Amino acid sequence: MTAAAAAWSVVVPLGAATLCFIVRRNLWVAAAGALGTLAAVLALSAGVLAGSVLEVVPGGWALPLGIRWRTDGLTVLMLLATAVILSLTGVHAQGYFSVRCPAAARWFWPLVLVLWAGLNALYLSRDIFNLYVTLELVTLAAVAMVTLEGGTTALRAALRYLLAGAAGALAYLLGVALLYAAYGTLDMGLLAAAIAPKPVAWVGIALMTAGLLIKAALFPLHFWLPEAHGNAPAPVSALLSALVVKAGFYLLVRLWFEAFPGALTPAAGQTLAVLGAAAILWGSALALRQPRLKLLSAAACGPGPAPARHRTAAAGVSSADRAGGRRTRSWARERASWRPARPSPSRPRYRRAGARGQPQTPAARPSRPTAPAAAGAPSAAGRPRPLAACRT
Amino acid sequence: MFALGLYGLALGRPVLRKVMALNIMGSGVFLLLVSIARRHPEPFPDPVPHAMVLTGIVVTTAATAFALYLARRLHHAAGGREDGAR
Repeated sequence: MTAAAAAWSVVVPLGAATLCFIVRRNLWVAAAGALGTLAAVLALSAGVLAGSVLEVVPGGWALPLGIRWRTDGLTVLMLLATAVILSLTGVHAQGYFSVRCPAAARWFWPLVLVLWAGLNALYLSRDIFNLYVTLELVTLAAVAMVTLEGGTTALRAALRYLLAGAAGALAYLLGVALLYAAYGTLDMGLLAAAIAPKPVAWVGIALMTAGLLIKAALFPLHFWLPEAHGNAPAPVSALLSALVVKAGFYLLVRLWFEAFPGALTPAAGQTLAVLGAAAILWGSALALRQPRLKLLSAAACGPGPAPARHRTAAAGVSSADRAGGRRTRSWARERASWRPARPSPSRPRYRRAGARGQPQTPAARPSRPTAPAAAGAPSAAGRPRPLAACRT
Repeated sequence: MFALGLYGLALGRPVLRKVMALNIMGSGVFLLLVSIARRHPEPFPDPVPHAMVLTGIVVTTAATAFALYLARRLHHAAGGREDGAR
């Protein structure tokens, strides 16, 4: 039963996501899929916590040809944390999108379910090429979610994230290729037994680590992170910072401790530690200079692993958005009164074809709420601002 | 090839050049994988790297398609094409 639960925890969200893409009013399909996935994850965790570690080889192919999925303590921890975060964010997102842009909600649900499927597979898998597939699945779903905002800056940030993520994935794949060429196996357990401190192993490890560092936005490869988080809808920002970035970091931990110990020297571990410390310092310095709340949490995410701080920051962003005008900081007051706190470029804003063709200057923007808007956005201050995709 | 692509991705100004550079990076990785597959003195090539290449091609194509769509959308948002065609 629990062996099947491992497979169900990936299949259920994928199937539900496919249905959500097809069906127009997909909130209930998404909710059913989420409940099914939650049930599978809980069953799997209960089975593992009651007994010992669970190993599954989907398809029954024997190693070294098969792909091994294994559930140990770390996996259960990540699975449960992901399930809780995704469920709560989904509940929040329902309210968020229904107020700001119901049209975007239709695409949010399948993307969230695909993200969940990819993350579950990522936590379960112990085959380094299967991890590449899951990593790309997670990245593509996350990039698509960043575009839900619809504005030009969001699209630009999504494109940058996509290119950086794809480059990181290719670096990871190159590392996988080198390790396979040297040791003839893709399974982490067999690799751990066969690996040795030789240059080919070091280059492979370095490439895979570089790829994962881009995904985890660890200093100094974090250039894509602040815009992507700052320009995404609030629930998407929460998911990105809490899950997607942590998935890259989790993989680093998993690989370094399970597959690579035979090839490492103490100096290699210290390099990562130095990068992490520099990242924390840099990110904190940058966060102190941000004018917008969301960019602040995004810059605080920039350094990388500090899970407690990120989760509270992400939760703070989501709840701050939900609270509307009840914040006390100065930039929050400005936001509630429809003017952006940071100086905006004088470039023409993105408009759909057929709307007024004149570029809007920042000076003209405060008069926008009083214009008769097709989306029916009211002009009262304190009402949440619709997403750019629904704004025209 | 991988390094060439990485250089183009980092420094290419037009977005299209970045996407092509990404594809060059991918092609470099795939060529390496295919060349791994053939070993002496075995008579048949190893199918596992071939499977990795196929999966990699699929993933990279999906990412490229997405990137091209985003680039096109941004291009239209920034003012459209010179000849006026949308």
